[in-house]
Amino acid sequence: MRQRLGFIISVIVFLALWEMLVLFGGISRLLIPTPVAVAGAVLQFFITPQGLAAVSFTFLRFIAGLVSGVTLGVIFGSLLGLIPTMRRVLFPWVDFFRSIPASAFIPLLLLLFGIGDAARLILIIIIVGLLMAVSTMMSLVNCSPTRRLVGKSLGLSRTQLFFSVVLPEVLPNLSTALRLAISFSLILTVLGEMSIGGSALGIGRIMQDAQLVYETPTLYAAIFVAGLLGYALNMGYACLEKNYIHWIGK
Amino acid sequence: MIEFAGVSKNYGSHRVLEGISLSVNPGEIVAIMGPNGCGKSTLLKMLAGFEAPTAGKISRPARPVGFVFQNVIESLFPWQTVEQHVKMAIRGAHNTHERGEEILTMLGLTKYCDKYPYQLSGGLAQLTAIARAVAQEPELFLLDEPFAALDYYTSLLVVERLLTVLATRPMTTVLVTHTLEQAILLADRIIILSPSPGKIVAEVKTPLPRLGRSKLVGTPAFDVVYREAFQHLQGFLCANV
Repeated sequence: MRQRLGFIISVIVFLALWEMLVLFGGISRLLIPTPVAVAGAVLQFFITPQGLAAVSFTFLRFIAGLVSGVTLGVIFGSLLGLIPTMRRVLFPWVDFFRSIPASAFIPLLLLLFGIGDAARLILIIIIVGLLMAVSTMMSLVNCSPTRRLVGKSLGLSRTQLFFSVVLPEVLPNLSTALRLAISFSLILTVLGEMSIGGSALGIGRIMQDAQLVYETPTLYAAIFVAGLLGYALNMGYACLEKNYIHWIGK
Repeated sequence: MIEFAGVSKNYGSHRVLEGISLSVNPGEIVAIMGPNGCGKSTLLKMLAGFEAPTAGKISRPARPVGFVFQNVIESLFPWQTVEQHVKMAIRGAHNTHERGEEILTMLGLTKYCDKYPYQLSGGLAQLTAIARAVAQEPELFLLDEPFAALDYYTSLLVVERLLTVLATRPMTTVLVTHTLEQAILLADRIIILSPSPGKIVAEVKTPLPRLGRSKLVGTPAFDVVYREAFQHLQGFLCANV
């Protein structure tokens, strides 16, 4: 409770200082609006149809990218992890492609798929997919040989070995990768909305439009809403992880 | 009946075990001792069917064996409680619960049945690994250095619990250990291997009653066995120096 109180006080002090700075500091409100103005703009995201649509579209793009990237990545990573020949041939490719900065794919994706959601989705799938593939492969390759022998000495079938030994063993690593994937997917969704056109809806698009027309309270609000979304997703996932994968890091 | 006939094992060009001929009778408890790297663990893995010999023949039960691994913490599953470890190993669906309870009680684990491995002390983790192996009701029970990671007092506790288990459920048992005292407390026979490549250099019988053997520590009967085995082991020391 004391820690929480400290945090609340710090927020109040921060907002008060900010308000004072804008009111009496002689800074242009066009560059730094007052917290009250920003709060009003944040509210717009949750009460107006346009605001809600922007948040929902961004969220849907995020989920679509995350789910498809993770699914494809885990499948590909499992194949790499389970088939040594495939790993030997394809891992250097994977390793190279995952070293390419995500933003470097954007001009090419625009060229190949044009503006729109296809290019945005594919951008997330490439980055999140490669991340999950490498993580899945590594966790499978580094499974404890002792535990495999334990399974053998217990007389487990291959299916039993997979579900009661291999899967729980790789889950903590996959979960850590998934947390990164959630962050990446959100970053790339907003980046995609800003740099790949084709839709008037989305938090990233609103940011860019607001900047162009100097609607700074909306720009600040959009940044805050994106942060709120990321924070909520992170906290929600951390909570799930703690309850369902209690042996993580043990 | 377990039988090794002229068994040798190489890893690449390195010979680990050479010409091992050994038979273990049903229900017998055998301890294997010898310097590091003499192939004790390899011998145990071949008994378990995890590895095949390079030469020679091994007859062993076809069923999976109860195996207590040297690296206990790694061999346990951090996603399972003590009780789940035991129940997972029980074969056949009938009265799993009662059978599990019985084993947990016998090893003194009832109080800890809801704990996860990372919440256990070294001794309790070792007892959990033993409980899991015993729950399989194996024909053959193998233990790889079960006392190596334990302090002296805890190792005595584990020996006591093991003796209780083996008294109520006789199993053909082979254990690898570095501590002579515990080998004598547990085994009917101690096999001593030479430094690498491991060959059987001596067999020391422990003609002591199984029950209440710990009371015999320090008595002349115990000391006779101790001295005989000690002399063989000390022999390697001289050879190495």
